[in-house]
Amino acid sequence: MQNRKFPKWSIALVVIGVIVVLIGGLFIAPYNNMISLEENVTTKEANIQSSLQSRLDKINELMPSVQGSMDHESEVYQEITALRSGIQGVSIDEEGNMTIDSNASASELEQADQASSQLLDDIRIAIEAYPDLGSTQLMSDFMTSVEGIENRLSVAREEYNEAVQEYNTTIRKFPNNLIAGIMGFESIDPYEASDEAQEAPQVSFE
Amino acid sequence: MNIRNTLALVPFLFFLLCPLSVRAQESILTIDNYITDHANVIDDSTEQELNEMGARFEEETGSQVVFIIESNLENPDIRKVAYETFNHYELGDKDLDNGVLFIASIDDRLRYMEVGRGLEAVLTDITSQHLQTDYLVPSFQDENYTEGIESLYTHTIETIESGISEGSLKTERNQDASAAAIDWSALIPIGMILVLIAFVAYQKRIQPSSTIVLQPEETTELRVRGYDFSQENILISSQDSRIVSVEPSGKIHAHKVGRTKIFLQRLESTKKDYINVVVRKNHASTSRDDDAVLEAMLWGSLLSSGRRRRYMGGFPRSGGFGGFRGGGGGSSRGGGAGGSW
Repeated sequence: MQNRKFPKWSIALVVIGVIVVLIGGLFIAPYNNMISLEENVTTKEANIQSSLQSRLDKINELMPSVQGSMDHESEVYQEITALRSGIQGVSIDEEGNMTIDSNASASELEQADQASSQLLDDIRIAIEAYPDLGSTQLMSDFMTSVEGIENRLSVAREEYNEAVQEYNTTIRKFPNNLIAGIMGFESIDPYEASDEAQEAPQVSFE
Repeated sequence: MNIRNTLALVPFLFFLLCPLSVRAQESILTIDNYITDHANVIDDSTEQELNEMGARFEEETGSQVVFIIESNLENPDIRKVAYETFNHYELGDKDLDNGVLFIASIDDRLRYMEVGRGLEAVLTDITSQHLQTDYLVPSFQDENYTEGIESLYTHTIETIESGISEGSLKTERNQDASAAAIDWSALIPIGMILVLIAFVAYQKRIQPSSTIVLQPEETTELRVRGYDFSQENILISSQDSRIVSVEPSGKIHAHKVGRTKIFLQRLESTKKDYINVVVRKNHASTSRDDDAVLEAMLWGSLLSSGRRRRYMGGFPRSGGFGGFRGGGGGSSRGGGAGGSW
């Protein structure tokens, strides 16, 4: 039967090696992972912002002709004006073009999402009610464009919420939650679009 | 291997059986080639011609223009099917995002074209819709499917090409090697193994009140931590010298099968340590068994972490013979246009 005696230095080496490796595996890896997931959430939020901006661009494009042909006394017109003037996170320039602030928070994006969805709805109503707003081709192009934008926006929202869920789950699991607590990772709220905003505006023509 | 070691292996076998996430397959169609005709409505010569065109176009620009024709779709949401399929295959060059996926379902009379991010400036939703209504819909309404597909395919490529020549699209594809980051997570199993090796190896050193196993008629020298037989005078005695006898130099002889203790005491100290001694025949060396367990754990954790990493990367791509050979890493964000006919 063998009795083994290890020289002290080799034991110390193994112990140091093990400690380094364990720190790497148990701390650095989860921390880096949480950073990546957080960055992913930021990227997806930027996607929502760019899709929302596309929607605003579309509205900006249609505004002149819509407002030109509408009855300024009508309810729809009043609503459009009211909506355009006060959306948080959105600024309007002198020509009436709306732009989302570059540092808009997620909740400001949600509000802009809701408001612009309502605006698009109103535009649709206006176009239906005022046939002289454009030829059939223009209306069908409008519909195509809106559908495309809405699709991109709903994809962006979905991806954002998936990213948020992945991040939240990861920082809440053990042992990541300990690291998250120390390093200051906090839960992120999911993006909530209002019910009206979640359905793409249905543009129909008689 | 005895039962103890087999049982030790079982938990590590579970690592290998890590459940893998499987996504719903009904939303993802299969791409066989640039023209994937699952409904068999296109004649072969046209199909071949267009496939060659598609392959050439991809080689020149990295743009993958893929058309799928199905008889019907399981999932009626054609936008979702297009989006999922496009991003599953990652159509288009990964830097230029210039993939195009067009899907037509004959029985459902649905059509949709999904456009990669990089092409949205040129293939706008409206442009895409006009391409379809101008070049595909009239032929499809007359059930001239071959003509419709051919016309739409060629005009789509043409649109992209003119976008490139007008300078509205990027064309540079860079072949960059991604920097390999240190994979810290792989170190955990290695760290654990090292800890275990160190622990097991350390345990093999005899400590006071540990156990030695001997064979009958075996002689060995006792080396115990804290007791140096050559330097000091150590009182050593055996509880039962018929089983094991001892010498002052530290040599011990095993005589017959049994269990006993060997007592150790330094002259100056009052502390009495003892070593258990077990004498039995034909005992398979424990060190070999421990090594087997260690090896199994090492392979189990390495294999499982490797497999998990590989599957995070996505599904394997389908390959065709000399045709479409898999996506280029591009993506779309749900942009496109479609309709009916």
